Amino acid sequence: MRKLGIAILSLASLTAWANEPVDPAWVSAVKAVQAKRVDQFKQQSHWLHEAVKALCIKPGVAGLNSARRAWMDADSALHGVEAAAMGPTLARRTVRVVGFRPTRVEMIETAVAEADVEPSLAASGLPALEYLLFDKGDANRQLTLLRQAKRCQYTTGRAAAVEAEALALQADWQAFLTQTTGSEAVVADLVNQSLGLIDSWRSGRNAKLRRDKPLQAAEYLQWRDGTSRRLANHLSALEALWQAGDAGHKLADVAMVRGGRPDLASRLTAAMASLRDTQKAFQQAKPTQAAESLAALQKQMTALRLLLESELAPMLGVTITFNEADGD
Amino acid sequence: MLNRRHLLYALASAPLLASAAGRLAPKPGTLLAAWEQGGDYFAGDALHPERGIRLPARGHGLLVDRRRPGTAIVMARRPGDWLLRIDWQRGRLLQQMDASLDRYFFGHGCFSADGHSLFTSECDVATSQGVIARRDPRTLKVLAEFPSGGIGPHEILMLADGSLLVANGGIATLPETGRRKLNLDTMQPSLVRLDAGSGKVLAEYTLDDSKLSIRHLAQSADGTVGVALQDESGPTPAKPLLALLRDGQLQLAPTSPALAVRMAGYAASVAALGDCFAISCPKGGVVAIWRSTGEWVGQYELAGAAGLVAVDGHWQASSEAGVLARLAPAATLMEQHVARGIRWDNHLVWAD
Repeated sequence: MRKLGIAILSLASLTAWANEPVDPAWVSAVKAVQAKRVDQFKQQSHWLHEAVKALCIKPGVAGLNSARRAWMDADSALHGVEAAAMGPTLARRTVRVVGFRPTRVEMIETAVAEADVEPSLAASGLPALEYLLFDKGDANRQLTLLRQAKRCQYTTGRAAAVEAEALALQADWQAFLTQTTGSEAVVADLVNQSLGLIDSWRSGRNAKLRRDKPLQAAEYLQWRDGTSRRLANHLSALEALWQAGDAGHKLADVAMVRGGRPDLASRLTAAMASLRDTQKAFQQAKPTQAAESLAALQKQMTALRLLLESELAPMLGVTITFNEADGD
Repeated sequence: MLNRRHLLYALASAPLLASAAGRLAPKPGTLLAAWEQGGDYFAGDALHPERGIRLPARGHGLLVDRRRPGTAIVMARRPGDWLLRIDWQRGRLLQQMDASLDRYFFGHGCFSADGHSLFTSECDVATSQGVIARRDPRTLKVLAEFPSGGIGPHEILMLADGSLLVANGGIATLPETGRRKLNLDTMQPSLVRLDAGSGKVLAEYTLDDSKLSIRHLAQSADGTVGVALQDESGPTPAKPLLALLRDGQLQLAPTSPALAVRMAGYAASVAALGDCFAISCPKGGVVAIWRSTGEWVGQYELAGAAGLVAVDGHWQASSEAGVLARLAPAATLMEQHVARGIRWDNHLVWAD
């Protein structure tokens, strides 16, 4: 599976009409930023594994709360990795391996019952751990389940598997950082995956507001806070990537060299800042304001997409091969 | 089920469409489609969008289930993870089937001639290879699977001889990279005829130009298959977008350079009327028509041309701007109505 992924990604949508290489120092800086995100994910995955192990040794409210906090941190770290996945993250398919959604509750329960040590992706990863650690809401009700040795053992196994993938990913990234070739693929991944992320928000995949019946207050808060956290993490990750580089080797410098358009970088920064403001407003939105906040978010995501697709991608020599508007 | 915005759009559109329905549907029946409206996605009776069924995400192809009158199957757009059965008459969702964990849907399917099997085009997520799943049309559960004979299977056509014709678009995509096309430099589209029971490859057809992705299919009265194409060769596409499978040969339909430029590299759907084929080109804003022999018939200018279906001796076309139009066989306009605020998706089907 990995071999196929590498083969496909080595053929990433490059373009022949931009002959000049993009400043390798800027590309290295982009890789370094993403490697840092991978390091954070590895670290948070480790703490999650440790917290779940401790919980299962001595089940209690404090231990469960600690495991839940660790899960939130690991999940947030994964948001940073997935925001503009590139290189080994794509080749290993890490986001799918540890972040399979939607959560398949029945498969998780079957795997728990059978003490499955190598469950399918759908019964593993962070979404499965979310179900195992959070589903009942109330800590004591959750602990009643987690006191079952088989269930806690399964939970620990899943946390170990997430950490194992994070470790392997980090190792691959260490090797990737030393590679001096493949700059075009990094830039193509950066732009295409950023656009893919934007489309996922524009299409509502990340922030669908259920409209078939009114949400209960607690449901709304859970939805709003989870969506807001994911959005904030994605925006932070994208901002860090687009602001990568030392003086003289930042995106603005690249843009100046490749067409005299340093304003593209500042416009990108401004578009990200607008999105950040909207995210902060959404974080506080009352139920009656949610639809309006989401509409504003979609509008700004669309503006950002236009900037990336019609100006930055040509400037960087990247071909965009997909369009959310395409019917198929 | 309705939110305020949806209701307002529906109220604005419904009287117009309802009054036009008799002319747009000259025989008993209706048009089914998927559409976007006010940022949400729907499917159902296109002449009564107020009965639209809200979808979990953007839909793509629809299939009328003739063994279960009044119902249709709606398929999610690639990379899709659901199939739905809808009651389009009452505007109700009846059933949802999620994709297997290691599969996603490409947005199309077909029934066997007797209606006892439902075939869906799917992706093996681990390998990116195409898969055809045979499903129980009642439960929608998978009964069997076989390879599609390529990557990216899109539309499937049940031929008159009972074999399956699969349009393998040739483009690799993965769930975690969304709609990003991962192998444009090496794509190998193919048209593959399969035994519907065993999945055995009976024939394979390719075009000389591997950048023309084979996407949508229709069969004319004389047995010719019209193949709608999408050009992946670059930013200024100017290639023919209709191929014809006739007498065992797959060849591009003769296309003038001006029309090739006009079509802008993207054919969204194809339909057959008698011995003619029409393709819709939303990016080029045109519906173009040929005979099954390759002879050029005509074209109709329709901005954002999307769905196409042949009904009772004429073409029905939809557009991304809400237009539902009835066209004469040679592409002259007979009736046209606009559903404000509705963006019709790429496929129309006739339900009677």
